[in-house]
Amino acid sequence: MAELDQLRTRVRGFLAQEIATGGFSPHCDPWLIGFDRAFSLRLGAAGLLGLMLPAHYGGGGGSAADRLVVSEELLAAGAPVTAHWFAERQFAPSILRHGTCEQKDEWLPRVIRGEVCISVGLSEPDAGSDLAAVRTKAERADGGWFISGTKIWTSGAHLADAIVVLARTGGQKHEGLSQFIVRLPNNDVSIRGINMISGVRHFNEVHFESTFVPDADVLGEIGQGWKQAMEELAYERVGPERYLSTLPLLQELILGLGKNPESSAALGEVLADIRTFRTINQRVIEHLDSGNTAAIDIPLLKTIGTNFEQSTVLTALALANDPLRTSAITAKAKELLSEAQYQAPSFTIRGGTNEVLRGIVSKGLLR
Amino acid sequence: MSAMDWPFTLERRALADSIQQMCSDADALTLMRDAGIPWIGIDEAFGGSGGNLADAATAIRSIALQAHNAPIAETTVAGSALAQCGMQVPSAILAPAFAAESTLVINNPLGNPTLTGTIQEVPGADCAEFVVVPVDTWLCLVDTADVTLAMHDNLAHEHRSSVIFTETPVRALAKLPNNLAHLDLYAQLAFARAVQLSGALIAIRELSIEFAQTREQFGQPISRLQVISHYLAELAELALVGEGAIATALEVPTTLNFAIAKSVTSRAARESSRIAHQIHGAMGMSQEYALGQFTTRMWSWIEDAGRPEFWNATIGRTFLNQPHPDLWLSITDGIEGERT
Repeated sequence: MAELDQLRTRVRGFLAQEIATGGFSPHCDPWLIGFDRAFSLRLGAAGLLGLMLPAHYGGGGGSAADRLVVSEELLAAGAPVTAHWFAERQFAPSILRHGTCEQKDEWLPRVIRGEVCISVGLSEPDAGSDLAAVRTKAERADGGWFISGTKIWTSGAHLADAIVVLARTGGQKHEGLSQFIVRLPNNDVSIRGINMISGVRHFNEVHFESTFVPDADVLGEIGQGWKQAMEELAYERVGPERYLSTLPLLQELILGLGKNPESSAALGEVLADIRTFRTINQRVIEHLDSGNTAAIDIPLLKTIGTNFEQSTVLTALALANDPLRTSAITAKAKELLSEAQYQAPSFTIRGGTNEVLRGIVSKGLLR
Repeated sequence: MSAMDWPFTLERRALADSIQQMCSDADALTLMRDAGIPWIGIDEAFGGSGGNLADAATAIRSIALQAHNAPIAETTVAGSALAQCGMQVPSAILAPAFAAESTLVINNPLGNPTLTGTIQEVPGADCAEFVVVPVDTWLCLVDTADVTLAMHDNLAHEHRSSVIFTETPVRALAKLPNNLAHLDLYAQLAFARAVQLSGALIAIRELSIEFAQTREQFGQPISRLQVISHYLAELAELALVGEGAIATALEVPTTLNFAIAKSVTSRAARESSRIAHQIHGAMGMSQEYALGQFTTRMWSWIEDAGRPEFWNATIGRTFLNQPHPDLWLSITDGIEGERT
């Protein structure tokens, strides 16, 4: 525990320094809309990335608990972590588990330095919640594979160094899927931006037209793509990003709040809920770390957490409009409030909709 | 296996099993007294059965899982209060007459002290031998024979009483330590209710899964209907939240975390009872079926020892009263003065 406390102090020191030097300005949902390569590089230079990756590659050689401390501090502060988030959260563990020696040597040190931006190529125009319906094809070629098809809702693809594509190499549904690392930018990959309801572009439609991928860039085993992708989703679904998305906003709204008992109670409720979710999250992550899957805890916590963070937008609106405020909300709070409102519907959609997750849970409950 | 199965060491599992057996006996209370169950979590030096807060929580939850009325939680909370004040805990059933604010008056505390006033909604006073009551800066032990009780039933037909003190003699008393105010004691009672609620959340989840798989409509078990299966998933979410709230308080047992546990489990219980009744349809409304045993208790326990709105306001006020209220620091490191 003392070591985790020390680590937390280190992260807080880093963040305080960043804020003091104007390194970043806090945002809601900073793992999806806070793209800043320079910040990721500074984080890597401070030794705060890849804490659970082996020391051999420059990582911390620690546990998932170490990574959790760093993630939650970054998210609570609203730090711009998008550039490295997917690479560090799911790509690196997947490379470590399934990658070749060459892939580990190439990618892991770069992820740990904060240099790598990875996009996740799962969803397709006709395969969203029904992910096993993916139609993107990979066909055998001399020394590699030709990939053809379209991925959609690919966050950051226009800025990424590579996209990990789930494609069909044969079979039906969950069988015959494989993962490929497609390097970007790439003449045979066209990327079209999708402007979101906020007017900002975070997502893309990515089109592959007989894009060649050498054998060296196959991730894991041919035919094991579904299993590998689901392992990655376990990392994606459990984590503080599922309940801390609006924390920077709530903090900003405390400024100038008067003595309205309703506002106190609303904040008391937020505090109670987040403390509870943190305990569950810590236990689930320790469980994952010790090789236990805690199969239904992960989707359970994701639905609980995302429903909560969605509801905090209403809390925030109430705090913003509290008639007993001693001063009006700051310009920063206004900015964060609209950010949160724009992002909130996606909280319960991305990474598996609540409906898909409840389907998984109920299968686990029924015997 | 759930990551939240934490509370159950082998010893606690055995304790839970033996309590489950005792609950099926007609004279469960005697069996539990003989086994020392009401005084678990109280140091042997003060007359308790030993064990820690998690052991006590295991016992209280096991009884809640059986929807049994034995006033064990009440005795544990009242006895623990005596021990925290350095007083001997009698081997008796005790009732905690705790309130957020009290208008009780103590006369002549340094001579032959007596109490005057009324405390409402005291649980288990009708079968307790002693009432434990904080007054001013004192914690007092009073013989139940020396007070007047005005008893009523709550929604679950559990007994609650207004305890009326009329120059009632105090059998023993001690100063409340500095870190133990009336509200701290009230939060300890609230935590016992939270533990009971967390047990009921699990019982309701299990009952509903069972019911949905056996009840057939439209030619199939209703669990096959997507909307029902999602209701079941929601019940599992709410039970997990309850477990998380109790685990938080057991890890760092502060007044604030007891308050949090009561707020979180109570709000989860409101949702859970609504959804479970919807799944059960008319059947759930019948006294012959088990669901109502749990939901009526939930409705009572939610209102007992501070409803969630009360504790949310208390938590929020404590948070905002800090010179620089920082939400994240207050979540991770505690609120000023929280950790003693």
